[in-house]
Amino acid sequence: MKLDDLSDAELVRQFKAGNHQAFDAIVRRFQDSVFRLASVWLHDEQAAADVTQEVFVRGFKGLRRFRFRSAPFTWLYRVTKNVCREFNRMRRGEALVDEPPDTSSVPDKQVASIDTARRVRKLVEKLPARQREVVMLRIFEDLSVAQTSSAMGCREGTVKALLHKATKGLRISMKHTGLDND
Amino acid sequence: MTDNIDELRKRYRDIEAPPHIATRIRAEVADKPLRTRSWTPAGATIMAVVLVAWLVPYLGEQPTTSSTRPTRPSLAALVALKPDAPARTSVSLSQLKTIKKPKLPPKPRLKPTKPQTNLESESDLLEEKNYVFS
Repeated sequence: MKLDDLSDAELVRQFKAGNHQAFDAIVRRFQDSVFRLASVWLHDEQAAADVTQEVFVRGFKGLRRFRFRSAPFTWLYRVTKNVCREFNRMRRGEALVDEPPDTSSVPDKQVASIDTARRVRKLVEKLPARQREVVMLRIFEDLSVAQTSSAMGCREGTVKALLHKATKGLRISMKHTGLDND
Repeated sequence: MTDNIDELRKRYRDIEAPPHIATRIRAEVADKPLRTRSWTPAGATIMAVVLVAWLVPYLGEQPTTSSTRPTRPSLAALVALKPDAPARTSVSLSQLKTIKKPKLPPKPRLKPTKPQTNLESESDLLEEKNYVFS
């Protein structure tokens, strides 16, 4: 059986057993999700790339002690959140530049990604922090309500309530700005 | 409007991590051992050293014959040497219930030193009787 076909938990088990290839599979599986979360939270794609790297380096150390009390992605999500928070704390004081970054040396596909991240962020950042989190996990990352509640550390009912409010807020936000307008 | 949220979700999921990230991560963790040895507590190492230091004198010791080496008495032998404790007399419950009180010494009684004066003599009573019936 190929490593990419294994479940998340099974991959982590393989990694804990000493299989280096399993870690590469974990990175392949979750790098986009971690990068997406970081690029929406941080207003800087370069920083998001650095954060993604840091998350997996911490994951390399931390997953050895992973006790399967939650899903591996839930654990990675928390690490991502902490690293983003640390990153924001480090650069506090610096003015957040919400301008399109210099993309002259970036491939077209990456430019599109950066642009999309910027538009999504513009729509989502109008929501309160908890609602934004629910939207990103439940709607964007397609996590179940149970997984979202586990990642956010709250009850499932809270997730549903937040999701309801967030969807309403997102609709209003899209009505005003539109999906393609800046 | 739900279509708009779906469209937003689709666009969000189109965001991809730069391809060099995986390479950077691999390079970062390549020099890190998968099994860390940092968990070995310093206490365990100290214990091992102490144990070895304690065992070293016994490792070089030659086995001695029984005639030269003083025999160490066994615990059973020591128990046999112990003088017997006085046998305890068991007290039954019935004995406990019928504890006899020691007899008290007789109460000392004082003898009257002089005769009582408030008693009337028989002759006086008779006289009185006689007086009543007379």
